[in-house]
Amino acid sequence: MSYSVAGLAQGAAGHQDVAAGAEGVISGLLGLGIPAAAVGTVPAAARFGAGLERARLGIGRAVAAESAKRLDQARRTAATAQLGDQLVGDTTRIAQQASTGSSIAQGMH
Amino acid sequence: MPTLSEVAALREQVVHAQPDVLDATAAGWTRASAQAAAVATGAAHVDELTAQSFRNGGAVYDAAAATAATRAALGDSGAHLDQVGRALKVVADELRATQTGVFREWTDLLLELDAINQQIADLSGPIPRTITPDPVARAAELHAQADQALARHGGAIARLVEAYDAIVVNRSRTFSDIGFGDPATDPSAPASAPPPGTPPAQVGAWWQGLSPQQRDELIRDEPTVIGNLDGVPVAARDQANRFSLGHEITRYEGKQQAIQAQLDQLPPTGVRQSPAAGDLRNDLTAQLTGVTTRLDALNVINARLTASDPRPAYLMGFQPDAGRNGKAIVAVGNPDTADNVVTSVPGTYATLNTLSGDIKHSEQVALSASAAAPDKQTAVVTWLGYDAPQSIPVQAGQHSFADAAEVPLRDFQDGLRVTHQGVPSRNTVFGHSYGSTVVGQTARDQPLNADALIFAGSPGVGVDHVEGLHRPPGTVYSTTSDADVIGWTHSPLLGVFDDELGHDPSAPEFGAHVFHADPTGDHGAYWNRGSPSLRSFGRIAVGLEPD
Repeated sequence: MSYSVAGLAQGAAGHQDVAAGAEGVISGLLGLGIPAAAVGTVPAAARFGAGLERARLGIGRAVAAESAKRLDQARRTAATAQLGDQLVGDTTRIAQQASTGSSIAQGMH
Repeated sequence: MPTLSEVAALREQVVHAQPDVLDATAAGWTRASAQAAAVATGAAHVDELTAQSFRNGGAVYDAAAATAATRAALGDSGAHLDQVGRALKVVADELRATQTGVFREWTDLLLELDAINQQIADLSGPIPRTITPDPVARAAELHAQADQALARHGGAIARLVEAYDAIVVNRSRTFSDIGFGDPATDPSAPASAPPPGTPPAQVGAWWQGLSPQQRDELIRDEPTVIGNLDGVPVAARDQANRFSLGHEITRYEGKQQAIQAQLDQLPPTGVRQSPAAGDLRNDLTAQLTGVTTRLDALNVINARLTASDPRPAYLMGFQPDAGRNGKAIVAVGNPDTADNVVTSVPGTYATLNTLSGDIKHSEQVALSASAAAPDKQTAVVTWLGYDAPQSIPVQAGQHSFADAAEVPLRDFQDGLRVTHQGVPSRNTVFGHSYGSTVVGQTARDQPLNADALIFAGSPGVGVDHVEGLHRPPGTVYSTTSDADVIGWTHSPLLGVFDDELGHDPSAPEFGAHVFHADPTGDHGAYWNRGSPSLRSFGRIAVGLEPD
């Protein structure tokens, strides 16, 4: 067994990056509304404008959900990595105190 | 009979709208789509890394499953953002065309009414300037003319605005289709097209699952999507693209008339005029030349499509605004029912404006194939689905144009297999000049769905030996005339393309099956009637060995 502490730490940072990227998409979406008159005042204009707003809000909600999920995953993964670090440290110390310490300690890395 | 104020009210519905704002917003949605796609890709990578790390630690926690739902939603959002961007772009284009048409009709109406009013005023003035036997009858006649003008131009404006409104309705359905609208209030919403990048096999399965009514609605409402979607049958693509072509011809006729009208308002040439007016005339004249050239090219394509010919033509792709010079795919014969299908990729300088010449080459190959196998049907497709280089040697020496063509060409070939009816056809991909670079690179990087490849007058195909093309033995053919200047690019002295585009595929050491071309023929002579190269193109297309 090789507990990949570095991988988890990297994963936690990656989740943070994904969350930041998702927030960037949301920021972009904020500026993507159109003035009501941009499509003119034909009968379908109101329907078009309303549909566009629904799409903007719906997509924004989906992207925001991903951002929130990633922040949660970043916290979980970082905490696991931290515990893993501690676990490796503790078990290595114990192993070094035992007669077969070196081989066990090597196995933990 | 509409009144002038009613016509003015119709005009008001579109005249102040802002297509440029819609265009800019559309670009923003498309950018957001790319951004969301990039984030989704990054998310997938992070999930893989994290899940692996948890697994290595013996943890039972499934990290990838925890994010699967929101990650999928993010991926969907990327596609939805793109759909909205496309809907906005279509509305912007339609709005612009509508405004141009409405402006023209409105101006013509006012000019006509002014002229009629002037004549009526002349009749009733204190000193009549015209001698009219019956001024009352003449006035009635002029009033009737005014009514006719109102009906004619007002009707045209009403039709333009109505058509634009219908487009806005159709694009509104996009929002329902992506799941954020309220389909319950819109039961007539048609099925939506698959997002860009969907594999042709999936597209084909989706199309098969639609009702005839849904297909008709999609062809009508989404012609620019359906017409260019690999995996949709040839006849449906053709129907959609003919609609787009007709629309494009009308659009260019409008442009031509509008520019001409502006030119007509300038002082005539030969009359002394300000430098600014001279500059404007030159600018407008250049614009008119460009518009007329494109319009002529579109009309030539349309003429071939509508010609009564034993080998009918199909418009399998039409994207006049795509890339730098427009894209189009025209088949001579129906690839879905033919025994043999040749996809011909033109080279440097190919544009939508020059496509008619490339179609003529395809006609020659089809005739040659018929001569080689009279009992078999051979369809030849002119595939301008990429941005061809427009200069030699600068652009034509770069592989980037071929890089960008790989996915579209591969998808197109896959799509041919998906939609073909009956026994699978023998499919050949032919590349002339830089088109051979496109074909070769595509085959080099991933399998290309074809039974044979032909290169003619090649500057290089991306590899130095036929083995690099991952083809079964004996399925790669090449020819280069001794008099073709393309040979210079491989000469020991110059060798300008060898480093960038690969070794000459017609050289013996390359390992292709080399066949004869007229040794005196130039770079464009490979399709000359009676030439050995043309005879061999036809023979290879039907599965025979070249001469």
